[in-house]
Amino acid sequence: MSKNEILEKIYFNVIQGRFRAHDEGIDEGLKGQEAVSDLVTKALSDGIPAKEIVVDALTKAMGRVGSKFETGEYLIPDMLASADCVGGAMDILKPFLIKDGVESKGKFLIATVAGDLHDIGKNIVKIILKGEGYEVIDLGTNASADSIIDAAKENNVQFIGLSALLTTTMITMEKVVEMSVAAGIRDKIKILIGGAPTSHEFAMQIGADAYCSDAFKAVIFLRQNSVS
Amino acid sequence: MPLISLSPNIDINIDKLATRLGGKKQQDFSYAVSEKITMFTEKMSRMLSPHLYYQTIKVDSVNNGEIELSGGITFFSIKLSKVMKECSEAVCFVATIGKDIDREIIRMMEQKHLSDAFVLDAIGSLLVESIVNDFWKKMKIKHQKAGRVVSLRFSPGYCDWSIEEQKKLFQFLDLNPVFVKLSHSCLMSPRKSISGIFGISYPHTTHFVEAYNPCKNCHKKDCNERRV
Repeated sequence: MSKNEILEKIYFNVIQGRFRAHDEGIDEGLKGQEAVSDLVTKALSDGIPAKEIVVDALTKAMGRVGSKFETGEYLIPDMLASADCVGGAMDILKPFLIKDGVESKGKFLIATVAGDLHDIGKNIVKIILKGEGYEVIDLGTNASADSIIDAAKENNVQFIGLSALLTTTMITMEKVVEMSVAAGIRDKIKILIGGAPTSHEFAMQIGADAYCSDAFKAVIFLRQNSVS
Repeated sequence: MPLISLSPNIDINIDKLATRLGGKKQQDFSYAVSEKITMFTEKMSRMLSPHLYYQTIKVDSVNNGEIELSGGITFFSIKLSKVMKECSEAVCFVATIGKDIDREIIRMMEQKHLSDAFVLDAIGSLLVESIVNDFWKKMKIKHQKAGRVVSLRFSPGYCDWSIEEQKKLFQFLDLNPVFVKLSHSCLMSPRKSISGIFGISYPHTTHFVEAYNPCKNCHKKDCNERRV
């Protein structure tokens, strides 16, 4: 298989949302055929640079998936299956990207705040950002403001993303903003918030940098706001 | 307090599922999503442990934004007070489909099958919703036979009824925490649980109680629970 054929196949399978050979695709009849996991491994063993796999197959495919999602052709689980593929591929590619000196676009700390255990939304953002080339540090659910600020300092992150699905837990988001000021890191980081009870108004009220109604809004914000 | 153990009923409203998955009514699903829905629906009967608890209580008074129930419980919500305006009794309830589905969703996310987790989560939400709807419809028929009318149901955390009021509801129902418990931040466990209230009115007031629907004047057009 030529280099272009492998990259084309990776592109096709990301759009089909197939990471492993036993996965079903968006279209019927693909189960059993080579999928992203095998193809990325094959591409690396054929000497295709990891960065080319990311740029010419994964990112390109995710752009197409994003368009299909925006037009309503793909539903959320279709888009997530593709994002799962990109996340899995990035796990395989990470050591090769590091070896090749390819840097991540930045460090993004993500957490569902204290008192809240909802994590599907957070995990969607996590996987989309991973596919975009960010290094994502996931503190999981029920994360206190203290633990978020400690981890942000320890990992020297540029972005913090906070999720809450309960009105009772949104207060932790405000605490994180306040504590980032007290810790002297507020001007070095951007704080993004999301989750059903949050809003642009709430984000502005607590001094966060952005409210993101979905994962793609977070991507758009990050593309427009790189922190040096 | 009446405790109803329900036999698992896996009738899923496909239009509602499509909406939860980011689509619209009469949506065509991709092959992969169709397969997931079929697979999870088949597996679901082994995962469900549906229960519903309810208690009927006398309504002492309803004023603008305040609903006083017998025993000194007062709920605060303008919209709920409009719903309950002419009701002489209230039915408080909590329904759940059990913990197994929570565990399965977490397992899928740990295995990085986010798309699968999202579909299962949506199916779980619809099932607990359908349990509550079935119960409400049965109560409506029962009361209709006696010449009474039931109002629409309402849950803490929706519209202007604070999620914090859920604590009063749980206190009143005095539930066995083995089945459903409420965290300090008002998160129910199992997560696929619904708590709420509806009113019962007597013949001279039926017109208003039956007709009043707060969703008609609500600006939140994207609400999953919208009843218009």
